[in-house]
Amino acid sequence: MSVENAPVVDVDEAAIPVEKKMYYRFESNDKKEFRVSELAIQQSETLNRLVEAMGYTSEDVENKPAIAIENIDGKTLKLVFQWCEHHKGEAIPVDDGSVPKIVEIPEFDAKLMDIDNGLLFKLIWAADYLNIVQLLNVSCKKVANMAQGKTPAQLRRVYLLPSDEEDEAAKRAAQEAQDPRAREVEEEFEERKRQGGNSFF
Amino acid sequence: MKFLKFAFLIQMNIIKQMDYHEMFLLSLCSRRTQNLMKYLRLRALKVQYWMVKERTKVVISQQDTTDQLYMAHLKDIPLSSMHREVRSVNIGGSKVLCRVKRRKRDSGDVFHNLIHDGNLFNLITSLQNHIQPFFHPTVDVELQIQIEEAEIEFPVLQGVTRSYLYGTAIHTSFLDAFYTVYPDQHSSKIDCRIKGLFKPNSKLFQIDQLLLRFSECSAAKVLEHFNGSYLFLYRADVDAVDLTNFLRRWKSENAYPNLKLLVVKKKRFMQNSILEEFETKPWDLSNRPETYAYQSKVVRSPGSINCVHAHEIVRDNDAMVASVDARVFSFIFCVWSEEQLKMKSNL
Repeated sequence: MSVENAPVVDVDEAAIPVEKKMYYRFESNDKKEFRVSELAIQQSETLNRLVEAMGYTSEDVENKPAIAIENIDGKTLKLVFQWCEHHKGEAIPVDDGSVPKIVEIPEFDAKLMDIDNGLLFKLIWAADYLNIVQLLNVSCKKVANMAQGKTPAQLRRVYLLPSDEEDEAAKRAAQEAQDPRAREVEEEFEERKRQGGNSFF
Repeated sequence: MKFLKFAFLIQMNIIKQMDYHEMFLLSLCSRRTQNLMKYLRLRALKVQYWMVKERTKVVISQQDTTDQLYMAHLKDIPLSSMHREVRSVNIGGSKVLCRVKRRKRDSGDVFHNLIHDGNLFNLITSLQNHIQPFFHPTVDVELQIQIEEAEIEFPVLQGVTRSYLYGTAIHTSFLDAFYTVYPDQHSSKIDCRIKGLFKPNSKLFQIDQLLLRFSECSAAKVLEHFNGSYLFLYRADVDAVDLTNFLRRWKSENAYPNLKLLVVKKKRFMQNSILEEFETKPWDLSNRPETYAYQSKVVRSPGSINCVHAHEIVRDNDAMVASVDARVFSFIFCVWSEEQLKMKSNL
């Protein structure tokens, strides 16, 4: 099944699915609504527990407001639900603790994740937040693959890693922002040293 | 991709999907990425530090596989500070000037060689300080050194539990020093000729599992003083008297309290002259197992020894059973535990 044909739909642009299964309604933080099958929801431990706790009937699903997912936007949530629909019914992988962890990216997932780094970043956060183990694994694998064949200098650029010096400078700036007096004290100390004073206090 | 903006567990998930070499290179990027690695607590069979002339490699052996996975490659050659690719890298708390050179293996895999011209022994110590925190503390550390005959120095690492020394020849003074610096090894293989004589108090004799590929004239001394559990003496220059003395001392409990297996190979022995003073009987397959199974860290394991042609010998005081197979070119002595003897009834 192609990414485009995955059965996740925006309510305002597609027909109601014909399958006689329960479809839950979710709303992103930018008010996009999605219908997602019960089986697809099982890929997300967080959502699965949530709907179980709610105990909705078919009528509730239609009549009550969509379940709000407040920290994920519509663009990201669409990818998440497309992934869940495509992989519905599949077993949730259990981490056996082996490292390096062997994860294959299926063709569907590779196409789904053919997105810019900003959106991939959000997708990973969403997979983590919604506890979708395999989506988190494949999306992390995509990020891990970015390290292949790279030197440390290239890795710094790919992963936007600050150098030790930049980290130090950021730490100093943060401290100063918290306590403006600290900088004044430091300058005063330096000034006294220049003047030959051997005691600050 | 803002890697450090991810939550810690996501960072760990990403790193755990990298290979060991990528983990190492990432750890060189900054102190923060290096610190992340200590949370991996990687499990492996052993971390091997290979010293081959001007090269140093760190290789990881995993459980349940014979694969050896490279983690780091360092090469010691003169650097030009004018070279614009030369950078200062923090390895285990030491600033090392090096340049990174891309290389390709026959398999097509790409790896990076860190070219440096620092002190090699200091560097390997720093390298261990850098890499060892990635691993669970119980992971074995193995030091492999290619020895030149005149070699007198070796690096000082922490927690070395295994060693593999190979090359053309090695002097006993080197070995005495080596095993004094690394007394806590449980296994060691020496794969080169040995020159000189061992002192009777050499720490080598305390190694639990020992293999000497060219034991030659050192064999008798090692056999006399060995205190561990597995001893493999190949190309051994021992005679029937040495082996008779060995049996006599084992039987009377005057030595070899821990011995489980002795394999001596490549010397002509007179079977009758070795066993004739002892009370032995043919290994009885009707109530004894046919093969002696063992696990050793110095030979391919699990191993097994066929005892069909062996003789049974029993220790005087505790009735401990051993099988001894004395042939023209080999002498194999297996000490059987109660559990091993019971294997017969379980089959």
